[in-house]
Amino acid sequence: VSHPRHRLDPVLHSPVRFSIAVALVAADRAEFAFVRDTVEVSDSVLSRQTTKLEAAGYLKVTKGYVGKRPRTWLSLTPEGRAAVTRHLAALEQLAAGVELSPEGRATPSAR
Amino acid sequence: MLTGLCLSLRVETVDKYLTDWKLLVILPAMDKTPETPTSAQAAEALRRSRQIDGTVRTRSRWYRRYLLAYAAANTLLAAVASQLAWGVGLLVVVVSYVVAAEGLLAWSRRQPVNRAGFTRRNKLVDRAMYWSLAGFVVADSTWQSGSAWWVLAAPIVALPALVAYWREARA
Repeated sequence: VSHPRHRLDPVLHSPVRFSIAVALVAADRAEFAFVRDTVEVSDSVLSRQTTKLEAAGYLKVTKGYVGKRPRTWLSLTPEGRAAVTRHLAALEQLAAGVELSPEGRATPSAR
Repeated sequence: MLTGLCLSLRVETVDKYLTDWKLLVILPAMDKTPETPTSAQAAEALRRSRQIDGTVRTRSRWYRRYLLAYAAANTLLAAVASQLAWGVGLLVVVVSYVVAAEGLLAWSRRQPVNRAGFTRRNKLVDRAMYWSLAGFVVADSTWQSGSAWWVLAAPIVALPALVAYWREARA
């Protein structure tokens, strides 16, 4: 259980969902179009992935107007923020070269 | 007509089997437990996350301009208030402050991204700016100094926004 892979969030394992979450962790809220351009995906892909993140309780979608134009705002919930932080910490450990020993224990790999 | 019906039935059957065949290929792939990323993949994901974070930070820089505009507006209002008679000065300050604050708020709502903690920080700045300007107007009317004291006092009303700007620039 000590291996960082156990702390990887299955919801954030998808690269697109991970990118969306990372974009939102640095923001209070962001416009749908801004996230779409930052993550470099189409409207439909972003819509599908935000639905999944919303279903996991990680993301909140707010609809409103700026003037007469309809806008969709995306923001992370506190659970989503915590999940991204955990996931990033696990990735940091994996990137630092934590590998499994033959006994199944996490050990820093020799460099 | 019969030929057409037969043809459409055949197309439907082919389509059904094709869909089943696609499901046979796709479903096991979806069901697979995600593999543990290698060190290189994890490093790549982190690099991407830093890149995205940089983009969000860059696009959130509008808030610095917002704070500078707020500071300038408050300083200008304080200067104008100190030059006018009490009643007129107060009216001008109240109307101008509402217009400036609402204008800045409308501009902030048009921005595509707000940096983390923006709502809480901006609420604090808003309150501090309001009370510093109100304090200035009351002090100016009480002492009726009219002299150059406002030159020293006016920058103080801009202080909350300037402090917030400094913190934003450092973050």
